[in-house]
Amino acid sequence: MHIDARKLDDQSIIEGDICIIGAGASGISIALDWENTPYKVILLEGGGFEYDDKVQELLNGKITGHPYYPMKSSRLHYFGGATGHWGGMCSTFDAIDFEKRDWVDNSGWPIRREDIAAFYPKAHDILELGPYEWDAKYWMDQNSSFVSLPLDENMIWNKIWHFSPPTRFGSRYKDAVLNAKNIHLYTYANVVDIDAVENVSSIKEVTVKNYEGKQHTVRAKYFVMACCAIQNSRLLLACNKQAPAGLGNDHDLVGRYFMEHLELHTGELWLNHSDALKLYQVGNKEKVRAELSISAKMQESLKVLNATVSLMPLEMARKLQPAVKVYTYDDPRKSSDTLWKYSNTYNLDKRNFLQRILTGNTHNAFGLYTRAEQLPNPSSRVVLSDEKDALGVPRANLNWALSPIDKRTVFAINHLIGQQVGAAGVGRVKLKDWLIDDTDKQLPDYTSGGWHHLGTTRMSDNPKEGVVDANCKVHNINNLYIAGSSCFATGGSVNPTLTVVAISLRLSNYLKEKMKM
Amino acid sequence: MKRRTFIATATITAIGLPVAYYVKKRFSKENPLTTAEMLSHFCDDTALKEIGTAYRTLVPVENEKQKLTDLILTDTGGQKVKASDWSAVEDLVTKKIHNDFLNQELIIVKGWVISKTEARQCALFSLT
Repeated sequence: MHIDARKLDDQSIIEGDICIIGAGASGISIALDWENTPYKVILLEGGGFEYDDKVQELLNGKITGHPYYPMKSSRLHYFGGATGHWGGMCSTFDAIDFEKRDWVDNSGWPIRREDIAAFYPKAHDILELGPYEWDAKYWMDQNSSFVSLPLDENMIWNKIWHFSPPTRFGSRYKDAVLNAKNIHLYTYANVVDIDAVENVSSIKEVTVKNYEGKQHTVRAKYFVMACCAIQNSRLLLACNKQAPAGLGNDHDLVGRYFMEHLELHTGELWLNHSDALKLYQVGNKEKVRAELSISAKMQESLKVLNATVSLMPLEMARKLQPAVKVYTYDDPRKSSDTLWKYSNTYNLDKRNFLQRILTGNTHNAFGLYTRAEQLPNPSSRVVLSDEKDALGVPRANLNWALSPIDKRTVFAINHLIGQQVGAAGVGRVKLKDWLIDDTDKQLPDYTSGGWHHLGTTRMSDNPKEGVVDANCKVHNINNLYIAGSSCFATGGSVNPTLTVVAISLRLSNYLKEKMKM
Repeated sequence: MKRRTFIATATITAIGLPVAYYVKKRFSKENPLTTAEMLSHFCDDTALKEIGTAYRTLVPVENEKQKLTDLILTDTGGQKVKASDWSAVEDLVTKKIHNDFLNQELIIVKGWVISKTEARQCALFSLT
């Protein structure tokens, strides 16, 4: 069922069993998980079904620290959220990603990989990822042209990625949401305030507003914030009438530990024979590929974070500009245009490139593109601006801060690949100059993020170390939950959408059980 | 020279010289003491010499022809192979490079992650 909050009478009261704030991958997955239950689900979306620049403007804010994409364009403020422009690359987190690692400050989740493993298959289906098979050997059996580089799996292993179509939740699941009798989707319902009971032990209601000047109140037994890492923390910090530091922020943790995946070109792999390395390339009918991933054992041995490296034909890699230098527009539609122009730069050598494809798609040189975990850093944070948006909510500013271990990690995996291909006698690796410059401990300014906003309301059993507990409940607030990547205590090395959906389904499952009590 | 002779000579030269060059490059045996075989797939002589020169700067104690020769030709047991026995040198160098990679006896020169033995080959090459 769909209700446009602009058309409701002003000061309407909306009531339900569960109120989900935000209709992106996380919010929609949770809402649909409650379809055909006896419970009334209120799904609040700040925008409508189409892009609206005025609504998008509500996300604007300033960037400090390491260069980052404009705040306004790095998320989409309409039904479906950022799935409206995501690329569809998915992989699972590794067991080590959840563990407390002595050499990684602030690492360790209060849950293990096994705790979300049961929710990965359903998340996999929601994201339309094909067979639930994550072992490279399975895919090599399916396709004889998938041949692995002869590396020691105890050091560098083939991590499988699946490619979603990509599933645009806004179009793919619109009918399902609208046709679900117990799901009440309210569009143009921007949450601007959260009211708690007197001692702030539970949430009473939230206030929603829109540009038409309408203001409504939403009441529910449970509230789930699913507005993405930056907006979740912004809203908690902005709701400071009853809790001066903001909701859930008794220990000054809300907004801190903002993380991304660090993505950039780091070197070249030269082979002594021509090989398409199809297992590692995009565009096959199986819609999977492998990336070279550093083993848990080597992460521990080298005292570095998790990371993975993709291979692309060198002609293409050398033309690829750092994403952070390409996606510089406030208007996300302009960035999409740039994407096409930017893709066209590959065509500069198209005769040579096409010839290679036509003659067997073989290369003997590949660019190494690294995707690395970022250390959870308390200085990397979302803070409130003095400036307010058009609906009266303080804007969020982001200070993105990296750490020396981030660069050491990027170096370590690339050097290890160099050692491994050398030991296998199949080629050599050449590293970028900045990567071997010992005098600079930081990654270069053009290190890009993957548009993955992580952390900011991190998970921990200890309220002094995390904003939410193992069930994604805000510490000391009985009925307020947070869904999605803002709960991540550490970010792993892979794109987060699959894990975001899995962890949201786990929360959904928990709340359904709780509702039965 | 008659026109016909000139054309024939020019044609033979135009075709023959590149073929001869290719055959020489492809089939002639390079001195394994100064030829980093794997790297030579990716780098031309100038680049290999640059790697060698850079290595000599990075490791100045080895910046001497005889020192480099001894280091390359001595096996793990301290036995020295004769430089003139190219086949033995080739076997030794191949084994040493493989072991360097397994044992992390690596160095980064001009961005290349290479074995110390092949870096020394380049260094010696840069001194020839």
